[in-house]
Amino acid sequence: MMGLTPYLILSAILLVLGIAIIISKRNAIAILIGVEFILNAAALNLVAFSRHGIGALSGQTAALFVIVLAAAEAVVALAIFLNFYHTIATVDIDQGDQLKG
Amino acid sequence: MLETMIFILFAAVAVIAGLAILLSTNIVRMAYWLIAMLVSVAGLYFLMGAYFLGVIQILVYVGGVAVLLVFGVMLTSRQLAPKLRPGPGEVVWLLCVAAVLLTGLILSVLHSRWEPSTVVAANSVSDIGRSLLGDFLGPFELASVLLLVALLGAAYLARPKTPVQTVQKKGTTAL
Amino acid sequence: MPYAFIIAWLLPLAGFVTLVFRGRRIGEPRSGYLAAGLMVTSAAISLVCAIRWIVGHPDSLNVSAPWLVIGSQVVKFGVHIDSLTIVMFTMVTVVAGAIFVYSIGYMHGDPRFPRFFTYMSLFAFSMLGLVLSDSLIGLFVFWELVGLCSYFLIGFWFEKDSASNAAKKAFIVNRVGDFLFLIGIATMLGMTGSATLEGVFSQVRQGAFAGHGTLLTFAGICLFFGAVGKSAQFPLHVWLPDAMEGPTPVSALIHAATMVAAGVYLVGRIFPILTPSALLFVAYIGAITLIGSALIAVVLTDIKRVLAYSTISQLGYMVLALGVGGWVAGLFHLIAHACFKALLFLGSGSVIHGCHGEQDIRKMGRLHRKMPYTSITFLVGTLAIAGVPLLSGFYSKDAILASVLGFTWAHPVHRVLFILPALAAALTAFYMLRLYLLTFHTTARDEHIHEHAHESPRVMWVPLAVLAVLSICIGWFGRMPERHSLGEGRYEYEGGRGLVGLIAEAQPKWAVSWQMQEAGRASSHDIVEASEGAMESTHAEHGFHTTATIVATAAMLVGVILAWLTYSVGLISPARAAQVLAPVHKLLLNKFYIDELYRATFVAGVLQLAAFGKWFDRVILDGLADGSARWVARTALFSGLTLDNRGVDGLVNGVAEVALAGGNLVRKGQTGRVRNYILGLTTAGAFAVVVFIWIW
Repeated sequence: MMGLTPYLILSAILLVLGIAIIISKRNAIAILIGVEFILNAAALNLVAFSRHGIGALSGQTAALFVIVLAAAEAVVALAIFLNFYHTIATVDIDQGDQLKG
Repeated sequence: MLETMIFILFAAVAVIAGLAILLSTNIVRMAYWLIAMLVSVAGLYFLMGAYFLGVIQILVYVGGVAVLLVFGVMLTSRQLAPKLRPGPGEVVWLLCVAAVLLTGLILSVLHSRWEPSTVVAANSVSDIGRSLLGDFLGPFELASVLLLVALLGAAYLARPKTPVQTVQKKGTTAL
Repeated sequence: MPYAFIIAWLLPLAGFVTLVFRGRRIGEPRSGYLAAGLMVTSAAISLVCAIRWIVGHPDSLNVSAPWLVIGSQVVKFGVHIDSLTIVMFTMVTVVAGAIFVYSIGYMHGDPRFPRFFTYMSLFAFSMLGLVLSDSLIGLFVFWELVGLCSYFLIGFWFEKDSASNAAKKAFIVNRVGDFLFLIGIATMLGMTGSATLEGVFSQVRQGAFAGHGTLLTFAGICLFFGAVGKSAQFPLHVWLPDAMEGPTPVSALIHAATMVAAGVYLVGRIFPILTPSALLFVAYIGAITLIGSALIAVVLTDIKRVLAYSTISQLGYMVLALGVGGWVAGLFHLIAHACFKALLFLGSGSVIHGCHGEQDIRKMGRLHRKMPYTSITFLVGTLAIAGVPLLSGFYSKDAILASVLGFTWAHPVHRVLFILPALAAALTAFYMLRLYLLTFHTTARDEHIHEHAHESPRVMWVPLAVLAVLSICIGWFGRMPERHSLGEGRYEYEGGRGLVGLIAEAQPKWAVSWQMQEAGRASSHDIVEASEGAMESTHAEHGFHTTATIVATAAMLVGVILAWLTYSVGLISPARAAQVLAPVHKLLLNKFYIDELYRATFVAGVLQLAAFGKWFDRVILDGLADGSARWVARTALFSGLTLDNRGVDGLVNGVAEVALAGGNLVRKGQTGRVRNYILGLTTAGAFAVVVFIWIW
């Protein structure tokens, strides 16, 4: 039987990977991809805990909600990004530094 | 035994996908690797007995979100050409921070004593449905409202406006 | 009757006050008439009173009123009138009257004619006040006043540098004497508690100086130094020759007859408290003075200078006489000298006037025919001062020599005190006759002056005549009174006649003996002895008198014959004599180099002090002031520029700049890029994780 720890370690790795993607990518879409990584890591964490008796079914339900929210969030983020793209004709989010200084 | 190997398989795919995204510069390739990661996570869900969740994962995440991202890539394809890389200083700092964070998290996980697990039997869809409309009724209704709002918002945000004006910005390195 | 004296005293004061305010308006010659008229009136009043005194023999008068209160001391201001006062007072008024009248003629044409009489009136008032005063302090007040008038009058023609310098010299040299005089007064006042002469005398008799014999001697010498200054004795005689810069009437009145006599008068008044040592000192000073100035007078060529040194010499005679105890002799000579010296000076003034300002006798000669009245009166004065028998000078000089003889007989160690005056008598006769012969006889050495010489107007030669008469007869009918012992140390004088008798009435009834000096106190027994001892010279034995007369007459003849031979007959050539005795001649001509000595020492010393003062002021005080000002300025500059600009502003600006720099530094973190922000967040998160792990 698999223990809890491998899943937790995996989710930690995925989390860090997601953060790394967000930080190191200048393409806006790539950032969204990174966000997905993080959300997935969180959901995985939840389900793993649920599977191993902590929180019973609420872990899965929560993971369900995470998925829903991730979807909604992706939509809105994309809309914002498209707005951004229409204003500044580039996907390089480094060009969105009007708050600089 | 088998479970462990399948776990390792799925986990490896997910991690490799992440690393591939990190190392890649092509946004389409990145999107593809995302899909790979999502599918492997779904596989892990299946492995853990959360069948409904795994299915939802594939349906919504892969079929919805990933496709949406690809659509996004498509809509912004005019600017695909330039390869956008972070500066070297940034990379070093990122590696350090990532390493520290990862080490910390893993150490904390390893050093914690989790309760001995009582393996819960695979749950059926009906159980999930019952919990949705039972314990999680509030969040459920709110989620639906949220989805509506997100829809409206996105629709408003993405409406067509004045023609795109190119703002010339100097190409900069990072911090 | 004594109040008449006070009126006579105040008349010149009235003249002074009037002339001070209205002198310029009254103008010449009326201001002269006013002053002279008042003076002559005073003279008349005093003569009347004097005659009444002689006839009526009233007692001496003392009137006093409190004047000054110092602490517990009350200084009274009063008037003391005895026979000596009357004699002095009358002499001053008569001589002054003659001189005032003379001055109307002499000062004719001077632009400051009224001012002259203003000063002269003030002087007359002061001199009379001096004579009347009964206390040392009152005397000192008038002493200073006459000195002041002397200063004004010597420097009357102040346009001349030599005149104003001479006035300053007179005042300053007098000051030296006055300083010691004041110390003497203070000592007296301190030890006896009284300033009046009567009070002092009684206090000393009662032993105020008990055990302080030396102090009494010292005080006496200090008081005497006032006389040294005022009466031009050695070493303070240097001012009198220079004082000849003043108008001749001034020389006559002040520097021959009256002011210089004030010193002798003072010594006469304080005689009772002078110890034998002090008196010896007085005698020697007088002796030195009289021989030194007589020698100098032999070689001089300015009329007034010769007369000035002659005055110094005669004053030395008086001082010597007082020093050896010849009280009456000295004061008698004072009166006689006043008359003929004033006469001689006025005569010389007449000569100068007639020669249109010439004073050098080398340019005169043969003026006898041109100025007969002047010549004859001048001759009378010359004979009087030489001591020709029957003239006043003969009697007075004779009396002095007799006193000195008596003293040296009793104290043979001081023989020189007799030799010197005898020698000086010969010298006096010589140089005075020389003066007369060179001026009025021999050959006219300057044709031009002789051409224009003329006799003076009546207003000038009438006073000369008056004084000549006085010079002749003032010594007649004189006889010293007999002394009768009334037992118990009291004496009575009787039978004195004439001027001498009048003076003798006032002579002191006691004096300080040798024993008293040592003990510093007296008993009535000592007083008897004392008065015997000090007065023995006054009442010289008959033998002394005869010897003295012979000696005096012999000296006079020697001098006269020598002068006649040299200047009239021409047997001895003065030029050859000067050649033969060249070093002596040079010494005498330069007045023994005393002036040069004073200049090298005192004057140089004072000038050095002044130079030092100037240096101190210029370098140190100014340096301090400037230095501190500079320091302040520099500090202000430093404070302003350095401190304020660089320091404070720098500090303030620095703070601002630090803030700006800090802000700029922090600004770098605001890249505006989301990725960077997220990186930052993540770093913080990693850090937090590490911290949490550490804690656990």
